[in-house]
Amino acid sequence: MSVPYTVEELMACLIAREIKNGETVAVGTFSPIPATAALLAQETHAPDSEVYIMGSRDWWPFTEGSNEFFHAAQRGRFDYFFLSGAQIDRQGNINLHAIGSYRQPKVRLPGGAGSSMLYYMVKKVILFKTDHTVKSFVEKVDFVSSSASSPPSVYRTGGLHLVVTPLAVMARNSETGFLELLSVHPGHTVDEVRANTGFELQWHGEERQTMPPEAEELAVLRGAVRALVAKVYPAFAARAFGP
Amino acid sequence: MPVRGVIGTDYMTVRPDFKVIKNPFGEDDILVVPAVSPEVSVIHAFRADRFGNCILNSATDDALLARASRKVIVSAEEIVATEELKASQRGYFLSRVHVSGVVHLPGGAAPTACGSLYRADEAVLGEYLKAAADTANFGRWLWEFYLKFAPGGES
Repeated sequence: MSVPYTVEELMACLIAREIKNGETVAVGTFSPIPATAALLAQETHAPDSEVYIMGSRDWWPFTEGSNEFFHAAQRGRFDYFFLSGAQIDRQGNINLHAIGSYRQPKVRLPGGAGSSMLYYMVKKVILFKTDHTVKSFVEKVDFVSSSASSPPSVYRTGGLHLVVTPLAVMARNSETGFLELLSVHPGHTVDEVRANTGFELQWHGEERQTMPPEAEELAVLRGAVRALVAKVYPAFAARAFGP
Repeated sequence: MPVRGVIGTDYMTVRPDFKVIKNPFGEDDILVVPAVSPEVSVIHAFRADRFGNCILNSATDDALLARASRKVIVSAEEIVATEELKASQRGYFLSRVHVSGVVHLPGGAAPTACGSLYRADEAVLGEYLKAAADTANFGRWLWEFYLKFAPGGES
């Protein structure tokens, strides 16, 4: 067994490993795990990557608000963006708008903001979720605020790349259009993941266990990266990292 | 205004004012949405001159909002001379062309943050959330909050 790690550290490592050197990574609001991942990648294997973190002072070179950022996104300037959702469904659709009906919601969520465009125009969108339950992974979302699929007549240069949760990693099967299991995290079982998913989950290829964080990744995370993350997410930096 | 994406989401069913057209410059279908044109916008600036020129937080969309609105009221942390305003090193310069009036209002962004001048007041925002749960309560809370800033108040 490797060095003990927190679930946040694991998720950040999994996301960071996806980022290639030189890619442009944009991180939205309320996204401490993706921010940690982007900075970890930059501090390790992707030193030439551009990292933008919304709401930060140090990683936000835009001078004309989110307007300028969204225009850049519509031009296809970003390789990575990170979304979450109160609900994510079998097809990879996201609901950031309302639980229940749109007109009379049980819970009115903050809304999709730019995600209904970003999901189409950012090359690789990673969905991250800090809980993995039958309530969050559903057969069909109550309201599609970001759509994983679109008619062929619509210009689309990007979409769903991976789904990372505290239990597993999932990806979309391009033939069926459904989310499938890519790997299950150490300490968790396939049965557990299936029991906590509100739709039928099959394997994407062969059964695999998630590669846990390596000692070197953890050392960088708990050193340089934690100090950087503390500038944007001080409470998260104090809580989410191991000793 | 054209917007990429969105087609395929449920926003298309709940927003009849969103239209899909053939992209006149391409082969694709594209969403067009009506412009949002507020009657009045109230925005907060780091500094302003008495003509309405102002320096805004460049991380916000306030300049865009000002350009889209019919009437724009700027509240400012400080009022300075035009030369001094134009010499500002940080922030986004918005021309008086878009501004209807200026109010000198130090602390005007509270309880939210104002760039590096002051942080969001989490405790007050918590009170706000609690008070906003019912209308009568919220009216009272808002009045008490206002009194703190009114002339002769606590701050």
